[in-house]
Amino acid sequence: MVHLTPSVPESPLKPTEQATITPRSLPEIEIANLVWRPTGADAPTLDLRGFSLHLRGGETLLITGASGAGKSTLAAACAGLLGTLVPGELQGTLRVGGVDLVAAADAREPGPPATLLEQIGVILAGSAPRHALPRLADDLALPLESRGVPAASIYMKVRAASAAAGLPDGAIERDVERLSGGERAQAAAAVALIAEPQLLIGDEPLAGLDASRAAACEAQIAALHATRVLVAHEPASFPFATQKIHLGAGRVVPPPSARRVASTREAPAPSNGDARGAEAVLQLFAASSHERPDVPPVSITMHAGEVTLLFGATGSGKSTLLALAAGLLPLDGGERRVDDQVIRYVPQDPGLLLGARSLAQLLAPREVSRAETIAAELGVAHLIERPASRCSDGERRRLALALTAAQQPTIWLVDEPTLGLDDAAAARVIDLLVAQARAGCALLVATHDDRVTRATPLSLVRTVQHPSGTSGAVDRSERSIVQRGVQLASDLLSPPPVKRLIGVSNPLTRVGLALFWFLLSVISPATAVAQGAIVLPALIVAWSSGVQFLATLRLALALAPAIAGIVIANLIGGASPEAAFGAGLRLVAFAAGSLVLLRPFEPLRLADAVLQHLRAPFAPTLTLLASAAMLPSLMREARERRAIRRLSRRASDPLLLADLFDAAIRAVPRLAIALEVRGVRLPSPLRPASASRPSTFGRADVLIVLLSAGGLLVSVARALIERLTLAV
Amino acid sequence: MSTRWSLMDLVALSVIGISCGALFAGWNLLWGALTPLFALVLPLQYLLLAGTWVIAGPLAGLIIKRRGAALFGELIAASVSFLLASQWSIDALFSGATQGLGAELVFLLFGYRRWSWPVVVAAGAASGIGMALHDLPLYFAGVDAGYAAMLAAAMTVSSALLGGGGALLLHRALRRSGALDAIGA
Repeated sequence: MVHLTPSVPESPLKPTEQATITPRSLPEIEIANLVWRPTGADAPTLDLRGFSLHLRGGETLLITGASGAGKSTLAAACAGLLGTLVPGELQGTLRVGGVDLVAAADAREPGPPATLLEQIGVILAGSAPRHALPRLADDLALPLESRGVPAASIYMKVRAASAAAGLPDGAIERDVERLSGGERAQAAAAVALIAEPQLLIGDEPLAGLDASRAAACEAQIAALHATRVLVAHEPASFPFATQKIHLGAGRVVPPPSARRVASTREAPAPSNGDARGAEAVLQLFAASSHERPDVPPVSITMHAGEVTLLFGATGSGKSTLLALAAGLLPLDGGERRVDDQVIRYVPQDPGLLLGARSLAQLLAPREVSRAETIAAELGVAHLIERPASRCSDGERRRLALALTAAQQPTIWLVDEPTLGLDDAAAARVIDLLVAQARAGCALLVATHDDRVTRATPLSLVRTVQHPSGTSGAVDRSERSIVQRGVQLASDLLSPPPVKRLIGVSNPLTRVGLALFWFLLSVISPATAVAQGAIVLPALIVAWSSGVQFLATLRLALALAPAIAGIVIANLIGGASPEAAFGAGLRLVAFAAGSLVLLRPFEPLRLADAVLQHLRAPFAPTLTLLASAAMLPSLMREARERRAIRRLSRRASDPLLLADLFDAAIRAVPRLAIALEVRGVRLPSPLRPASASRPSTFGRADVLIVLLSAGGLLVSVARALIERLTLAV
Repeated sequence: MSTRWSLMDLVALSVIGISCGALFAGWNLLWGALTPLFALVLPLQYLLLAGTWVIAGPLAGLIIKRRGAALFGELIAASVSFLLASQWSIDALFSGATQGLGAELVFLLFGYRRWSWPVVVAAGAASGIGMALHDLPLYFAGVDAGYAAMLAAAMTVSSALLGGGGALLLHRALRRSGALDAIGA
């Protein structure tokens, strides 16, 4: 019997979906003897020889299995990413929606075929950010823009999708990076569902969500009129699934019989005594940091031999508390008390700890045997030599724990240790943490996972409900005197009423002005500087329509010595004084052009402008934009990785530069996949893209053009008059 | 060697270019701050520091190994340096183009097939020649031939060592950390 529309619970979230079922047939999936070997791996990571499956339109395939079993790989194959975008070799049969994906991989298509890409929505897995553009509203709009959805309706759809995914009001105006782990999971679902896909690929869509939000998300997925491929750890998840496949080590295996997490809730060993009353090893009092202005001050006390479980709704600032306790964030308010302790922090993104290296590379010689024991306990002993870049998210999480345990910390700060782990692996992780507490360590564990609560012995545990969320919090950070001074100076230089009157100039106009200036100063530096006096008004307009005081100061500081240096060097090199000063003047003229660019680096507005006014190609522009927008977070990640490694005295790379490039390259596949599943593709776009943020020219731009042209005319006229008077 | 660019290559190119651009922006400030110290011996400053400005071309070429990677890598890095408002303003784009073109020509000469260290160092040196061709007429139009030759030599050697050699070192660090496997490079 074919289930064209699986019976689903009535969803209050998307009542319209039910009503708008179209007669169009939904994509089917055909899998047979599928084998995938990524470039650089010596053996296939997915080997489904002897297995075949036919998923009809509207059916749901549930892929389950232990961590690292190849679930995500199979999901990525169904999305058409393997062998096309992700380099490697795909063999067997894989047809999705009538598209032969093995043939596409053989032909080395640069990405999933357009006919397929247009109809799919993909929820990507993992604890690392999965967005393409920093602000949630822009990120949500991208799948619509790439499909040419009329610009007028995009904003409405973005708001609706965000609300349907359960995100709080105002979330779309925030940066995805600033969302909590759970809110990011909701955002990932919203991105996948916003273009009303006919095929939904969901890689652990519920991971990181608390129980009520997970139920809401599940209902939303169930209500979708689409063929679904969903990944989960447990065969019992997603009861509406019509077909199931259970994987183990990249192959199809029979699902395990139903079992629960082994309960370790036995009586504590008598020798251990009661953990309460033990000494406080780490205390935070009303601690806050300006780097996390959304999170109100936090307090916590950790005792030796105790597991403090930190609960709190998605987005309540649990990770911030951990980072404050670890001393990774600058403490701007409150107090942090800790005596001589070995503190280790296991972040939610294990990549921060491991980078792309293997566990073996990260261990000091004396830690190896201990790490091997722990890795065996956690079931990842066979992965010690494998680079973390080739491990699954769940495997990396356990490797990070093994690395941490090998360093024998007395204080553990652990963020979501069981996220993305199957029951068996989660039980092993919990056992490890419990054993650490029994041995006298203090542990602070942020979690959503009730498996952790159930399996941790009550005698050891203390729970803390994190009081408030980030969403409603106000910016409490006090501005320093310096910041206020900078603000005052900026206001004096370009008064707010003037700013309001002329508005903000378009970045294209400012780049144009810089180019005009450059050409002028190449032709004749002296003219350019003379011109400068006349075009000064144009400069000032450009400047006040977006000046940044500090950047101006910085530029001036860099420029003055550079000019002096060039002039002196020219003189020493034997140039005539005129030529030497000419070279210096040229630099001044260049700088004048640079001055108009001084704004906070705003790649988004520039990209919008070149897409809309210069018809720049969509995919390359978006790629550059997304990469540029990622720069601050790459820098932060590089610094964070150094801080975490310094905590474990592992500063093996002497240069921040190496960390920056490592973080950058590691982010490449993530960003490429994020862009691709939003419909940004090569070689040709899905459809002519629409623009959700119109790039307009305003009063400031008209003023700049008029004043520049006027200045040029006046200076040409003056030169002519001088000639004429000389001639006379 | 496939000449078709996938989105993965394009993302890798722009991420490398933009990271190098961030490096350039810092380098611009350092350069400006040190110029007065070196004003009497400017060729020495070029010898010690200038090569870093050409690292994007050899590095992008080495990692992506495709036609155009070196040129566009350097151009992207230069645009970041320009958009972050450096003292060179839009001229950064033109120097980026000449420098990137130098590295690209060397890779082209070897048919985008050979990526051994002499090739990469040569690409760095060619970038340095590009830098000299751009900088000398613009900033040192009036100097003696001897002084100009000294500057050009300093730029070329510095670019070969810091640009080409630096790219090789970074590439080795990235290969060792396993970061390159994930993008199939």
